[in-house]
Amino acid sequence: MAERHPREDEAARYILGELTPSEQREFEAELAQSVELRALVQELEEGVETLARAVPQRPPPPQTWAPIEQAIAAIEQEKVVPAFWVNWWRSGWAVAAACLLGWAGYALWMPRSKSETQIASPTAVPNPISPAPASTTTEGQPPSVGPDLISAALASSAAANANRELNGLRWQIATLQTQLQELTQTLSEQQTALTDPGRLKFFPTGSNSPGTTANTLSPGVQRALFYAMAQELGWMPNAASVETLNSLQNVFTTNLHGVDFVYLPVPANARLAQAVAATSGADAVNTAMGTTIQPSGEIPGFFPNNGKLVMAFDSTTVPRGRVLSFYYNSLGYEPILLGDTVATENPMIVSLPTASFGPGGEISVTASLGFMGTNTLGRFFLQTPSLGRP
Amino acid sequence: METAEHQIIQFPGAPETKKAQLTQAASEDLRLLKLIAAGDQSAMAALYQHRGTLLYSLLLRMLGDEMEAQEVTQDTFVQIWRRAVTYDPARSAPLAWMLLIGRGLAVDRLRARGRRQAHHATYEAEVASLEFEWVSRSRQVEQDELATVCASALNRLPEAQAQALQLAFLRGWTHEEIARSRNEPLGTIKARIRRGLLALRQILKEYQNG
Repeated sequence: MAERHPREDEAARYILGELTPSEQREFEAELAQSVELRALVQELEEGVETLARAVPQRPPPPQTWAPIEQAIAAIEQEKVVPAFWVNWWRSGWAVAAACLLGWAGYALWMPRSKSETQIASPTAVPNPISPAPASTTTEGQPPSVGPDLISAALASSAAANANRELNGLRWQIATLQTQLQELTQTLSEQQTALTDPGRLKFFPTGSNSPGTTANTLSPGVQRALFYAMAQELGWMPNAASVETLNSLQNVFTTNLHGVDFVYLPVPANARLAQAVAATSGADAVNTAMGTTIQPSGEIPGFFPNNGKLVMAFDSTTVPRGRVLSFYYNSLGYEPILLGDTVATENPMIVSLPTASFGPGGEISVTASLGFMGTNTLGRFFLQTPSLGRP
Repeated sequence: METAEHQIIQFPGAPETKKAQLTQAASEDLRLLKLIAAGDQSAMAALYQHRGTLLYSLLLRMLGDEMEAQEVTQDTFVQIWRRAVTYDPARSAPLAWMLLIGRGLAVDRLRARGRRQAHHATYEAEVASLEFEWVSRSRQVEQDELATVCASALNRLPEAQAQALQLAFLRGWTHEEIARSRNEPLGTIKARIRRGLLALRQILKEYQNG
C-alpha cells in the first residue's frame, strides 16, 4: 500500500461484516472506484486466511459430509419450483391457445360442412353426378367448365379440406394430451417441493371446497395475517392502531433496520381458555417452554407490494420465550441482524423492509433459547421472486 | 478460462516452492468453485476434502462445541453451493470468501446464544477463555508447518493487537464493543485490527517466499 486511503479504517469492518447496509453500499461504491482500497481489502483478507490457518487443525467427524450431500440434492430439487411457475404459465397459455385453435377450427369447419351438405342436397341443386341441362349456358358468356368437372372438383376439395381439418384436430388432441401430461408432472413436482421443511411458504389460509383438507393455520396466526393484510392495504387507521398495539409489545424487542413487530393482544375469552389449559396440567407450560422447536416449515406471509415482507407467527410456530431473529444474508458477508424479539403467547406480525436490500440475498428466520440451541425456521431468497410472489 | 496468473508452469523434477503450493491450492479452490457454480456435485465433494478441515477447525475454535461446529460446517458448505454462482474472483480470493461465509454463520450462532455486555470484565473473561482454548486445543493436535507458522505469527503480534483480532474474528465482537470494553477510542481499535491483519498477511508472504 503506497498511499493511505481515507476509508481504510472501514476496510476491516467491511470484511468482518460490521457495516450497516447503507455503509456497506457506500463502501462498495468507493471500492469500485479505488484500486488502493481494493488492494487493501484483498490484503486484509489474506490476513484473515492467516488467522484461520493459525487455528489448531482438526478434521471434521466422518458423519459431517452426508447431510451436506443430502441438502445439495434437496436444493437441486428445489430449483424445479421456479421452473414450475414458468412452465405452468407457458403450459397454461399453450393449453388456452390450443383450445382456442381447436374452437376456431371447429367453428370454421361446422358451417362449411353444413353448407356442403346443403349443396349436396338433391332438392336444392341438381345432382352433381347427373348431367346438367345444356340450357344453363348462354351466348356471350365465357365458356364454362362442365358441371361434372365442377362437382368432381367440389367433392375433391371438400374431401381434402375435411382430411386436413381432421388431421389438424388430431394434432390438437395430441398437443392437449402432451400439455396435460406436462401439467400433471409439474403439479407433482410442485407438491414434492412444498413438502420440503425449512422453507418459507406462501399459501392460502384454507379452502371451502368440499372434500379438500383445510390448511392447519391456527386461529391466532390467521387473525395476525388478516390484521397485517388490512394494515398493509390501508384498511385500518394505521398510525393509531400500530401505536396502541406496539405499546403492548414486550421490552425485549430490538429493531435495527426498520422491522415492525406488532403483537396482537389475546382476546379475553382466549386468555380464559389458556388459563384453564394451564391449570389443567403442566403440559401446557412444558409445551410452551419446550426446549425443542419442531418447525412446521410453514411461515405464512405475503408481499403487500410496498417492498415489505409481512409474516405472522404464534406459539404454534415459535414457542413462548424463544428469541425470534431476522437476518439478511448477503453474498460472502456476515449476516445482518435486522431485528429480534422474544415470542410471547400473543400472535405476532413481523413486517420486514426488503426493498432496500435488493435481489441477491436472503432473509432467514431463526428461533433460539440462549444456549439451548437455535433453529432456522425458514429462509426467503430475494433472488427468486417467483417463490414468494404468487 | 483461467488467467495467466492462475497458471503454474513447473519443470519436471523441480521442487515445489511454498508459494507454488499455496498458489496451486488457491487455483484448485477457484477451479472447484467454477465447477460447483455449474452444478457439479462431485466438485463439492472435492472441495469438502480440500477445505473441510480448515473450515471445521475454524468453526470449532469459534464455537467451542463439536456438534455446533459440525452443523455450521454443513451450513457453510450448503451456502457455498448456493452462492458459488455469484462468486466473483475479482473481489475475493476463494479461500477468504469461503472462510468469511463460515465465520458469518458462526457469528450468527454466537449472537443467538445471548447478548453480551461490552465492559472490561467481559473482555477479560473472553480473552482468558480464548487463551485457555488455544493452549488446550493446540496440545491435542499435531500442527503442520503452515499452521505452526501462522500460529507463531499471531503470537508475535503485540498482546492487545492479537486479543483484538481474535475477539473480532473468532468471537464476533464488533470494533465498537472492543473499544467500549477497553475504554479506548474506536479509531484506535480500527487501526489496531487493520494493522494486525496486515502484519499477519506479511508474515505469511515471508513464509511463502522463503
